[in-house]
Amino acid sequence: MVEGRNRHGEHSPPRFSRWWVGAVSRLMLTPELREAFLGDLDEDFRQRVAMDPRRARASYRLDAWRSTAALIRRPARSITTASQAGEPAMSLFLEDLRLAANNLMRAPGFSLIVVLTLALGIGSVTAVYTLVDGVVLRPLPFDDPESLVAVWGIDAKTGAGRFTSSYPDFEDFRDRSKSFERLAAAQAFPANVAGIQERPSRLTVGRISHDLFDVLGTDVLVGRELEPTDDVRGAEPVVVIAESIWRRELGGGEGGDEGGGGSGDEDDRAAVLGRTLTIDGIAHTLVGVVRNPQYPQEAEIFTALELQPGTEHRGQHSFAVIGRLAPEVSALTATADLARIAAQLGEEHGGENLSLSARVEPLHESMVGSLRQPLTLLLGAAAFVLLIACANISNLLLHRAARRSREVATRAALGASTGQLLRQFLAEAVWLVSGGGALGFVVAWLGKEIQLQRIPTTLPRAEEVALDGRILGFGVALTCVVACAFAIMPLIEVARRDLFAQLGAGARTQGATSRRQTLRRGLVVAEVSLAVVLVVGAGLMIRTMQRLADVDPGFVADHTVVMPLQLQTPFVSKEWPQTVEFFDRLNERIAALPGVAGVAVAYQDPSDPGWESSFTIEGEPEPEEGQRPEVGWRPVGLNYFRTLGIPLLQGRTFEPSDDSENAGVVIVNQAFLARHLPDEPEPVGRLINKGSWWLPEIQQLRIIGVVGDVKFSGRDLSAQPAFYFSHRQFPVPQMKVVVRTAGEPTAREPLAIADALRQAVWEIDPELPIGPITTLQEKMASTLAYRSFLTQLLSFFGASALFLSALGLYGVLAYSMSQRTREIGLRVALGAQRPDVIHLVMSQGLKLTVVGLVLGLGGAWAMTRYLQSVLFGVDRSDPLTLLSVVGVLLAVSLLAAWVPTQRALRIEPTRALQEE
Amino acid sequence: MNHRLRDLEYTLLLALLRLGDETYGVPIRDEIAARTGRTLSLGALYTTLDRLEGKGFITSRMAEPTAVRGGRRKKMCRLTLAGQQALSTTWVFQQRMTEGLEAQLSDLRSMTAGGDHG
Repeated sequence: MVEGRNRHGEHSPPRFSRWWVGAVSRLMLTPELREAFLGDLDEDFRQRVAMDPRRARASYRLDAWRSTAALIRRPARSITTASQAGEPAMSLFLEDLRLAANNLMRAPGFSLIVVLTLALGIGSVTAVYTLVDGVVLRPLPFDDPESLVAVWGIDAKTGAGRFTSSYPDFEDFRDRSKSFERLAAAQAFPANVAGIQERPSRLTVGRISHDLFDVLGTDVLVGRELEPTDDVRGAEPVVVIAESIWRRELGGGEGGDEGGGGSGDEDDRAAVLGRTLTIDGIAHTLVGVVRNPQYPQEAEIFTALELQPGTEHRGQHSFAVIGRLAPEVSALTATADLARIAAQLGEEHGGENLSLSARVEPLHESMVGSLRQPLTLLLGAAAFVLLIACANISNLLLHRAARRSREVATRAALGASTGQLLRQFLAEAVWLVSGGGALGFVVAWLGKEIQLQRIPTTLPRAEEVALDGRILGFGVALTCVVACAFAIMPLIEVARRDLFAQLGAGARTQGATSRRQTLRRGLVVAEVSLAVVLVVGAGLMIRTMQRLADVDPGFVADHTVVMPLQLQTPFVSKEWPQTVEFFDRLNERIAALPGVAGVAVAYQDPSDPGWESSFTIEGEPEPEEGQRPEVGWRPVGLNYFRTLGIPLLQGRTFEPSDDSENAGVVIVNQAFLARHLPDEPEPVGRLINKGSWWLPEIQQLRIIGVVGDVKFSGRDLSAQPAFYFSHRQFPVPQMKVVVRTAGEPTAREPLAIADALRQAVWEIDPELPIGPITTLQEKMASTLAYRSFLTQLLSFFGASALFLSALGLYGVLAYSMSQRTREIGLRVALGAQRPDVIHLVMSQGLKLTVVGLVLGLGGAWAMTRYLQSVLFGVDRSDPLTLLSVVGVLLAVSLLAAWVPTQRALRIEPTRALQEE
Repeated sequence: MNHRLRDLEYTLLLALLRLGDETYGVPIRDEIAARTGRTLSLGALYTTLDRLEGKGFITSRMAEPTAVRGGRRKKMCRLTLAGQQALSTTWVFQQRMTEGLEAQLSDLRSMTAGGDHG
């Protein structure tokens, strides 16, 4: 069939335009007019086709659209006179819409306030929903995400904890359990990678067992994925990369869409295979490109796990285990299965395995479960803002209905039915809500952008947050609900026919007015109480942030930058003396830089909780098998404590002679003494036996000093016991250089030295990759990022709520004053003084506020329960917060009453009494 | 009836007067287009006809269906007496307002040559 012709080969009008104009005319014209109109359109088309078929179609389209505009602007008269029998209700409503638009245009202030208020409400909710949807609700971006699970180690006795697994444990789980279709292990770690970018760079590498991609359902784009033969010891080292890094860094996939490639493209694609990537000094051959696995973490480079050193220890719990459940197996069954195997392992291997069991939980839950509550909380807060906005708008509509009561009454008297009046209100609501909804989307989009900027970088799945069709659907549904909610208020009014009762000069029916006033006051009280809940929430969070800022972390974070380094390049081999020498030279160079007040190296900076391992204390009773205590271990270089301002309380700090030639030494912190040697008056000199770990030559360490506690895991957590080792006795090549600068405390100042630091490194080894240089302040802020994010959003919602409810209060008072002009005038005439008038207005406002406050504080007590887990150093009944909220609310309500009071004071008794 | 017409109504009634007797949408539109170069949309034409009928300036009847119109009937319109009066009222009104301005208006027309009607 040729385009534009029907099945007889004749030319026919454009199909869509024809359908469209048919639909519009059905609504806007009477059947006869419509018939004639469509007939004319056809006739005209046929005339034109004879001359030029193409232009005939174009002209039909043009006519259809212009006619649409004409019909909507000015429907046929019989449509506009409504009550004609047999008319489609829709065309009546379109006319109502037209009238409503005119009415609203005549009250631009009212319309604008309503639309903006709504936009704020709908926008807030939609923006937060975007976040909740992206992070929590949306299924994980893996194949059949429902059956994916994470396996966590737990304490066998208490069931508490969430530990990663050791590789041998993982292998036993995999080989002995029947609950899983597949089980894979993965670990993400930063490594020096050469062969991707021009200079070797520090990138996150995923060490994975070969079947991780099978578990996740990751597609292979080029070459192959890892095979079972790749993760056996002694296998040729191979590497697989993600599509994202392939496209970004290696020019992969250019010159042809995926899937549409011919054989030429295939050759181009395969060009990347065989490339050599050097990862931490070991050459790997690139064998494949896979679609972005998005696991583990943000890794884009994947190597086989078995090849790595350290995988053979049952004591090294550093692998995340994920799996796909076998059909018909639940996470609970799988947990029972693994618990059984864990018990076997305890019997077989003793040691730490005695105290370990396992738990299987859905991967989705495992990744975002802890976020559900805070995000739901935010969504609830945003919903409160929307509710307040709705209450406010209902109030405005009531106000407007009251003002227009004469007009409405007249129309009713002239024969407009209740139904017509209702339609009129509904039509106005439709305009207002769609305006507010549309603007709300703009607000939501802005809100999303702002949220994404402030979102904690640790938030999983942040990259999946997007405003899409689902969100749009949510917003539209929300808008519809709001529209219905609104129409209800004026409907109640109309249904009561209060409005009609007002026809006739001055016939103000007292009952109707006071009923309406009660309704309006009720709405304001509701607004105030919702606002109180939000403001209390925000207040508690702000207090929490203050408390956290007051906590002494145990070290000085100002003016300090951290530069991560890992020595694995040819210049500095893994031979120990060279590593020590390298750091000595680097220290010297950096110390000599202008503006440097101190420099030290450390395996972890003080904001990093690091790893723990077991030990025993010589002379103390031997703990039971599997019950050995663990402690954080922290290799540090010379001057570490002085550079970071960590106080030395007893003994001495490390000296250059604390090296591998001499006896092992350790410095402990107060928390260690408090937990493990509480009654020891003279801890310096006690001997520590190392547990099942690393230090190659040293078996025993003598305590040489005691230092102050540092809150490694964040200011909100208590200090944990720690061992500090001398770097010269502890051969790790992966160290951070901590530099303290001497300068005025400005925000960016410590980073000004970053270039000089890089230069100092590259003067010794031009090939050495340098990790991202950050300030210690930034790193510490990131541990508070969650709370800070919550605080910011809650504060925003609290402020919006406060503003909207103040607006509502103002509206009610202003209206009430306008109704009481006569009464006030009379009072003034009878001798009432200014204070009496002020009291009259203010007391009305205060009454509403106080009722709202009491209800709101009750509500806040119920709601802040959900905030408990993020509060710090402040109880949810914190008197300071609650008193501040009361104070703020009262102040805001007085402010809202100010204008109406002033207006009341200006009332002149003679004028007021003449009115009406 | 002393009624002045809106611009579009006036135009339509004039077209009906020109076409004489009974006529319908397509010829009316063609007539206006041929004289002024302005093509109305059929939608605008029909809503205006409807309004004119409401005011009693035209009457109409539905004619027999024809094939060229997809089997649809024409709405045949005819000027009523009231319509004729309204036409003349408006015409007289305009005449009075333009009386003595012919030369100036003609100048204006040449200045704004090609300026659209209405």
